[in-house]
Amino acid sequence: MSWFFDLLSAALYAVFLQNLLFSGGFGTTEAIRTAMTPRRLILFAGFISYFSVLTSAVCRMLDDVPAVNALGWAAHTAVFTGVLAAVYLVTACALRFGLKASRRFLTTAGIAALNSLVLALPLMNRGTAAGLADSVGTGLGSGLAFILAVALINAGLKTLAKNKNIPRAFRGTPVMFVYVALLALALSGFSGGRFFS
Amino acid sequence: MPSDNKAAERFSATMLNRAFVQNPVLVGALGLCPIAGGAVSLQAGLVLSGAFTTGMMLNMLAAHFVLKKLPRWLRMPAYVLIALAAVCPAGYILETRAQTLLSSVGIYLALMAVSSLISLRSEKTFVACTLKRSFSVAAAECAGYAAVIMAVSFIRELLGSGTLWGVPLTKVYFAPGLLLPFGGFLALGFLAALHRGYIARHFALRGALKDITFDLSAAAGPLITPAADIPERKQAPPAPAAEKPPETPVTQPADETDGQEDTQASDTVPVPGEAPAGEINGNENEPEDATSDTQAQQPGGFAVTPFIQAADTDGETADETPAQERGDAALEDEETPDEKAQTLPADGGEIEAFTDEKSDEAAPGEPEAQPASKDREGGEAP
Repeated sequence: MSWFFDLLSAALYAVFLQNLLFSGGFGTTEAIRTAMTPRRLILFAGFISYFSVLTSAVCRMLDDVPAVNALGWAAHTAVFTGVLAAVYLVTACALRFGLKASRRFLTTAGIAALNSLVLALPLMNRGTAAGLADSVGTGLGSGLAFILAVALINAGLKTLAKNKNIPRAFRGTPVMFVYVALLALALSGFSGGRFFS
Repeated sequence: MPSDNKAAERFSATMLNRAFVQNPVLVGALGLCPIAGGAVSLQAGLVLSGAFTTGMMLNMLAAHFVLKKLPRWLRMPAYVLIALAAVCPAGYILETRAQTLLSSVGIYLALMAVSSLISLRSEKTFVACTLKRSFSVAAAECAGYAAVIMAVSFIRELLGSGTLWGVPLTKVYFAPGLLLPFGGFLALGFLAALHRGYIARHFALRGALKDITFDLSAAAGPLITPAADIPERKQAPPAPAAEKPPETPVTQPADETDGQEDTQASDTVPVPGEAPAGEINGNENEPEDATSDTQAQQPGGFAVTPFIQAADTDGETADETPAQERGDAALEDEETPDEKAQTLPADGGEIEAFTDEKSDEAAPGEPEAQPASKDREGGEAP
């Protein structure tokens, strides 16, 4: 039972207290682009969660192997990235040859898989010595964190588009960056720490 | 040799357009994660820039010579694994010689392997274009990305740590919060605003400066001051509202153009004396033609203008790409009957970075950066 609560707390932590996109900047490029056209948001977030959970779980289990655990930073990065690529390839083969998925569907899966948000999780979990339940929970939370981030950015973009008081030089991408910065500041407040000396 | 001069001019035009005017970060919002999270000092920025440049060049070579023979769903993980060949050696060197710097950069060096900018450019440009074109685009993208990383690193180290290149500075007020991703996004926002203001002041764009977020020019006025508002240009007749964008951008005369390869029309050196009419944002005069193929009107009243269609081709149309590469790309785009039956409806909901089928065609109203010249219309640029 504690395994379930560890998983749940890790997921909630990844979504709210330390939103992976705003507190670490992971996956913000895709979040911004998805915020523009959010129709495939659920599918994309589902893929992110799926690949995050699988990759984090496999990498966490590999870390229990002494030979893998003793590897240095570069080798660990190569192993984790290789695991991610392998998980994607297996999934893509199943989609392509088993379910006859279209090229667009496969591309969506690819973008979701080969994403900084997905690769960051096993690296972070190793840095924090997270257990298997924490790793799976963080993976589940990554998809929800992505949905939250996209919803916030999309709502902000709609408001910014109607605001005619934005200085000319800030219209478009600049004000979007500032808006994301304020979102990140708001969510970073949960993690504590001093912002000003 | 005239051909050498022409090639040099094209290269410099590509560098100007890709690295500066259509900067992939400040305009396209690509590759944000390492900048927002990892660019916290000049040394870290240098490491990230080096890893990115190496990964981009390796992918350029691999995509051009090998990967274009593979289907897209196999190419995508290949980009990541090839970029790893740049990331892992850098990480190993830092681990053995500069452990503190590796701790500072953190996992963001590893995340360079999954950089969206490398994957996007490899898929959209390196696979389909000639080697010369791919090299010029890669060099420009690397220069633009590195410039932004170093600028953000400089700002954040100075104002976030009170140091420069690790040397503490006295009497400098610093805010540690700027070392968080919020500081990175804030720095990017102000840099992007500075960039946009400079572009508006010094470049006469034929089309809209297309960024990925939304096109505010229709809602909130043009980005560039219309010619009628410039005192010394009030004599210039304004362009008619229904004027279509020119079929061909400003280029060298046809008999001097090398049509065999590197047909980057908008990357050619601007021809003096051929300023665009009124130096107006293309959306003001040509709101529909300039963006009709690229915009999707979203609920909430703002139009989405994908950056990818503007930046990927720089005026290069499908008809201008070498026939062999176009044929290879076309073969890969063919769907089997089963795939066609299973194809999800094209509702525009896909991430346009990878799934836009027409992204290799030139978008109408493609911005062509031309440095403002005093000689052009008898007055200073706005």
